[in-house]
Amino acid sequence: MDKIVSIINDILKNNDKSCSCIINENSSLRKDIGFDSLDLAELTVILEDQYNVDIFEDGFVETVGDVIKKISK
Amino acid sequence: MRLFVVDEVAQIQKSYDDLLNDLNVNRLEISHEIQPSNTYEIFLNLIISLLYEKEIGFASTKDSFKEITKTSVIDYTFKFTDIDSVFEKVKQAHQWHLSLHTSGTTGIPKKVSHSFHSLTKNIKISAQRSEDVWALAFNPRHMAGLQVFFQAFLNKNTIVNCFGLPKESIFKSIDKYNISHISATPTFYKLLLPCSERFESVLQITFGGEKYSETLKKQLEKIFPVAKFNNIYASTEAGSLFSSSGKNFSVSENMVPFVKIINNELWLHKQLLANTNEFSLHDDWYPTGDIVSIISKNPLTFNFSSRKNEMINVGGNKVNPNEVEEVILQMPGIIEARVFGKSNSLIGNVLCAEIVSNGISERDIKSFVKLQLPEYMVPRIIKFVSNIQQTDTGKKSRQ
Repeated sequence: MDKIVSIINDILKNNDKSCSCIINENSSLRKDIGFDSLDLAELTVILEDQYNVDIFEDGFVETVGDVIKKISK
Repeated sequence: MRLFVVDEVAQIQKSYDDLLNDLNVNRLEISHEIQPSNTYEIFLNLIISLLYEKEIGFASTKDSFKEITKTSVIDYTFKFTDIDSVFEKVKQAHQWHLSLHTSGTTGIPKKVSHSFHSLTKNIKISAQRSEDVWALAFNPRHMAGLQVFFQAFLNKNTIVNCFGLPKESIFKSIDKYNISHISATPTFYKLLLPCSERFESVLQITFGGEKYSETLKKQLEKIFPVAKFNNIYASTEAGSLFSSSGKNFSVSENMVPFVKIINNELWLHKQLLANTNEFSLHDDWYPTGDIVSIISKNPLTFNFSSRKNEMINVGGNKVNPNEVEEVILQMPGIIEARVFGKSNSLIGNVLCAEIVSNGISERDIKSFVKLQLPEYMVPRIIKFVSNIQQTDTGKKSRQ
């Protein structure tokens, strides 16, 4: 969980964005954290590099919790 | 006697006398697949194939040089008294063909077959060129390297191999052999920088194979203060076609009927091309895959924008990696940048960049690019490296 939050925060920081929410498992990547498609794509690349999983391979991923589930498989 | 080929990697220096001796050997065994171990052997085999009009080819993989005819042992009966008689015989090789593969920078390499005439149509032979010394900065198995070979050989010049050498060795060679002519890709020249020395023996710098850069030219002018600069548009399919002193190419009157630009893509009439079955013509016209910007219609003048296949589709938006690199390179402290796409299931491609720099941060790069370009043109994955990936032909890799 912490690792994922850290990755998400890095993406926000590197692209001069910020999120005024507290990131937890129920946080929606798009609605709460404010990711657009480019941010999501960046997330998939980083996660693929680190966990060898394409989180969007079979269907959409909505929340941080969904992401964790995909990489824990 | 005049040096013919210098190859410091293979530690050889061969003169035109050596070449003459090697050509006058009675009997030579040539296997179906020659594995030349150095630049001299590549050129020697090429010259032999021309003299005896044996079709020959370079395979698309790095090292082998395949013979197309089946004979393995030939009685080489010609005796040459001097190099001039070798040149005379070479120029009569009307039946000779050479098979080459295109560089495949952005796709699968295609096979093309050139004659002596089509390979040398823009080679200039003159007494004024008799003292030229050429740096070979291209792979000798591809079109650009062969253009340098023919230009140098047919004027009895010295060829100094610089392809794949580190810059210190290249600088040493320039001084040692008084190199006067260099023809190379912009990537090759960029790798010579930074350099605080000056080389006054170099009289001509030719750019080819990649998009021309005025900034790079200005940097090179400091290192090569007396050199004239020119830019060549050539391809494996067509050989050398247009020449310019800068980034704009003008089509000469006699070539106008054979050149057209459709939807900003350059098309060539088959008259200008080598023989091949491997690319599809549309009513005798060939789409080069080069995207150009038209500067004027009369005379038809254009400059090179990008390769069609280079365009990276990011979420439905087409990104020209050259354009992004040009912006990144404006940042002080950035030495080199390579922008490319990485396939992604979500948006098609994620834009990536490899950067050689002096301590610039990822965030700085992204902020800087964002000031000038739309969001989708900002590289998302940035990796800092010590050198940039190149293709077999000395161009920046786009994969």
